[in-house]
Amino acid sequence: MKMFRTVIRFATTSLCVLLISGLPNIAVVASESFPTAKVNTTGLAVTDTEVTVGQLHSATGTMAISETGSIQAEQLAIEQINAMGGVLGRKIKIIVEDGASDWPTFAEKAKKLLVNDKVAAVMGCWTSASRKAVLPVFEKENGMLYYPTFYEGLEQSKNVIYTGQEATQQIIAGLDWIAKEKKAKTFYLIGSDYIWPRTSNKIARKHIENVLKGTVVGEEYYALGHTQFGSLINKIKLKKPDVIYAIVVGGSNVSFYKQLKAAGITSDKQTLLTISVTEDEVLGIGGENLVGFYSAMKYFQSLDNENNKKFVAAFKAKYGAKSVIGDVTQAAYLGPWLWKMAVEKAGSFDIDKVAAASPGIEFKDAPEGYVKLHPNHHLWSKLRIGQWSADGQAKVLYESGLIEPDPFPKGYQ
Amino acid sequence: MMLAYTTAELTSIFTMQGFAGLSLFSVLLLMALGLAIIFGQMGVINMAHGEFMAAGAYTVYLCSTLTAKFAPAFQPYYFLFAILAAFFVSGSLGLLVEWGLIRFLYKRPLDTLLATWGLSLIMQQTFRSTFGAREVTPTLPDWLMGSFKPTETIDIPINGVFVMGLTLFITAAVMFFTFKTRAGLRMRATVQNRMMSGAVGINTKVVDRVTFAIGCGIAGVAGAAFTTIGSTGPDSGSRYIVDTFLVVVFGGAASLLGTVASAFGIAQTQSISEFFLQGTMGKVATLLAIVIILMIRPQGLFASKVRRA
Amino acid sequence: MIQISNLAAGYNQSQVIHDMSFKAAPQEILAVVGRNGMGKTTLLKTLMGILPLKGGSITVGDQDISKLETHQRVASGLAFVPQGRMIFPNLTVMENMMTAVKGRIEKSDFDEIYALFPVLHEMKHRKGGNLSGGQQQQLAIARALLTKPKVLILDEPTEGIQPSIIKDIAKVLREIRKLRQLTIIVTEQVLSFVLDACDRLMVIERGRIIHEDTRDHVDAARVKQLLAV
Repeated sequence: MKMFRTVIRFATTSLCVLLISGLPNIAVVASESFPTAKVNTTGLAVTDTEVTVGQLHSATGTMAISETGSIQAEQLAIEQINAMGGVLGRKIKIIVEDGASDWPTFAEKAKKLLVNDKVAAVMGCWTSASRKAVLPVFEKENGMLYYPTFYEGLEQSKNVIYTGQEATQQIIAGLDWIAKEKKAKTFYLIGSDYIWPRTSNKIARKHIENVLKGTVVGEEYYALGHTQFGSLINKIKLKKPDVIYAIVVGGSNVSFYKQLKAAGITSDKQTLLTISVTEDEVLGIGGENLVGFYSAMKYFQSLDNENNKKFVAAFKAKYGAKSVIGDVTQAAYLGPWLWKMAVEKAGSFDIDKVAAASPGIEFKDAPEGYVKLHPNHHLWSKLRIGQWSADGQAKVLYESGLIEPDPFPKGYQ
Repeated sequence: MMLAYTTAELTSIFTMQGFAGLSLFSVLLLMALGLAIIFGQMGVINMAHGEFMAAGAYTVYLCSTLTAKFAPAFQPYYFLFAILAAFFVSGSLGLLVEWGLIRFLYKRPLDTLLATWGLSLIMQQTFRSTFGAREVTPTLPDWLMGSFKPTETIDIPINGVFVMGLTLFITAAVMFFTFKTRAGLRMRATVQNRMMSGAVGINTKVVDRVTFAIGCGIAGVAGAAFTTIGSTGPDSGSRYIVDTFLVVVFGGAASLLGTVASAFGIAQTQSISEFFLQGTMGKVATLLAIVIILMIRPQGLFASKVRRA
Repeated sequence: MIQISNLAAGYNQSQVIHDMSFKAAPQEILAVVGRNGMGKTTLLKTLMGILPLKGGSITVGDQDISKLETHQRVASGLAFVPQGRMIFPNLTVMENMMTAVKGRIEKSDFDEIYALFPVLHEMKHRKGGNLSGGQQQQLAIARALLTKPKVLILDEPTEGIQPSIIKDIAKVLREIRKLRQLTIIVTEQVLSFVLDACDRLMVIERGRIIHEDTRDHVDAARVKQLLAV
């Protein structure tokens, strides 16, 4: 009987290997060589055949709009990992919890995943607020969180791997490019009113004033969900900045770009750079309202490389031809892979060992290209400038070198 | 900041700024009209008002999708019919909700608050399950987009003009209904004295149902109009509800004229302070002004002046 | 015209009207008298369907209206002038009257009303709330008449009205009865008004009829004694 099962497992494994030959090139490991007692000394939910991870995003509530892509990408990655044999020969089982766009709920569900379910890792969170809410839980219960969103920085934890960019990675290279390319001297900073846009604009202002020797002619924030930008647009017309630097999010985004267009502020007359519009947002805004404007991101769906083509094809095969992939979705996809690599490097699921093994991990075949985990638990990554076209896709005009993550940038605080 | 500009430039900016204020005014008024009817006339605090707007917006989205699929030639005109459809969809939903929920709660305002809040959550989740969590935007006819340029430096957004026209029309229609028709008279009588209205032969239950449905229908029209300004998501409604209540309470609950005046005041204050201050600070200034005025006049801008029997 | 049999009524748990039966003939003016708190208003509100029936029945003509809602009873021929008049204060005089009109607006109906109450014609665009008490009473009666009733029910029409006008009200009631061939039920505390206006009176106490007289044979001393506190 046992032998029969082994044969079956071997057969399925080899079949899967055939099916997924296009996936990241990582050795398949058999679970027999890693007895459970050895790889799990801290009582995590690991058996001889299975390891449980948690997924903690908002499937309901206001953030569901944004987090859906991340949920899908993480599940795709886990499915692919399972198809090629799992982690240390164990299949990944997912427990999905809904943070429901409510920060205390996130904390409560995080505690449930770590304490009751003993999950080996959690893929989750999207907003900084939700991450800040679960951080104490992860640190106290010693869990491992893979966090996908580009964010404001100023944070580092043994218990979190940040797969998105921190603010300086996304901001500085973008500003350098636009200053050089458009000879921009005057900037108008606009944001939704919460921590990420404010912190990001602070970094942008320092860089514009101290490094680029430009001027910030306006800096202002609008409440989340604000839909009337008439007064702002008139001020922009009055001040005629070389660049509008926009960090507007959510529903406001749509109104902002529609009204810019209606007021005649289009890319033929005005340069606009944003760090808050990915392919996901374009779906809502409509490509026709963004034509010619720039986004600074580490990833665009249109990236022309083999890994990305396979990733996009697999994503569309699973979630439909109309689905789009934005920066965060791709970053979320990295999470399960980075975890798998860290576990296999450590030869253990124990949180401390995985955390210790993480720095230096290289993911050569990531859709965004080569990335490497820094000791500060952020990724070395590139920055790209994409220019939007009417079909909702961006044309990548510029690609930086690998940028070192610097969550506590000196001189920018 | 005004010194470095030519007179022509300043004129254009002030024209456009004036328009921005008027545009915000019409948006606020359109949002508040339906609620003013339901809250002002029936005393029902309908926390799901925003969701009835969203239902209207989704109706437009649905019409847009269907038109694109089955009658692409009809695309330039569908929007007007979609607004009408939005009125009937939200209105019928309102009818259903009144019949199934609200009518049991007329004498229990706090329970109504809770029940309609629950309803709003149910509706949000229904939208999410039906249309998905992502925000959607209907394809709008070209004539609605773009801008109108009377001079080289002035751009007046056409969608703003459209919303303004629609608001004028709906306000006039509501005024006409309320003050010039028998049904409107029955509605006003019921507000003032429910028992006596029954005793002169008015079927107050039908009046309640129709009033609620009309309020919801107008919310649907508002939602439909807002698809020209922003996108629609399952939680769009909850974004509108605060401003809506602000306008109605500030105006004085029992007065349509008060609602108009209040929308105008709030819009101008906000638009002007946003121009001279900054985004969020503009909003803060507006709210501060409202709080101070409500402290002095708790009944709102307009309150009825006759003695009640 | 209207017949009440074994009526029981009251608020929630407390029963106010006990097993009451009486009838009013066509074109009869019947007064229900009694001290405050004896159940007069409760009786009328129960007749109108504003309070629910706890037992017994009410018939108008040969129609049982016990189960009907207020507005349906109005359609079946009951009209109500409540205590305190309850005109709609924010509606104009004209609008107040219009609330009672079903279907087409007949000019003759209004001509009749203006002949009875000329002041309403003069003030038709005034707000109801700005009328004097006597004017409001006229408006309330006019409004009730516009529902084309068979039975007109008035709750203490003289309350808060100047004594000089009370006589006018009595006259108007008799005039209306003649004009419209109505049955009228009116609750009262003012005996002079009752004797002036009504054909018959019933005294109620604690929700029961304790005394009945026709006007022509009224035992005024006994009724006065029953009304005294």
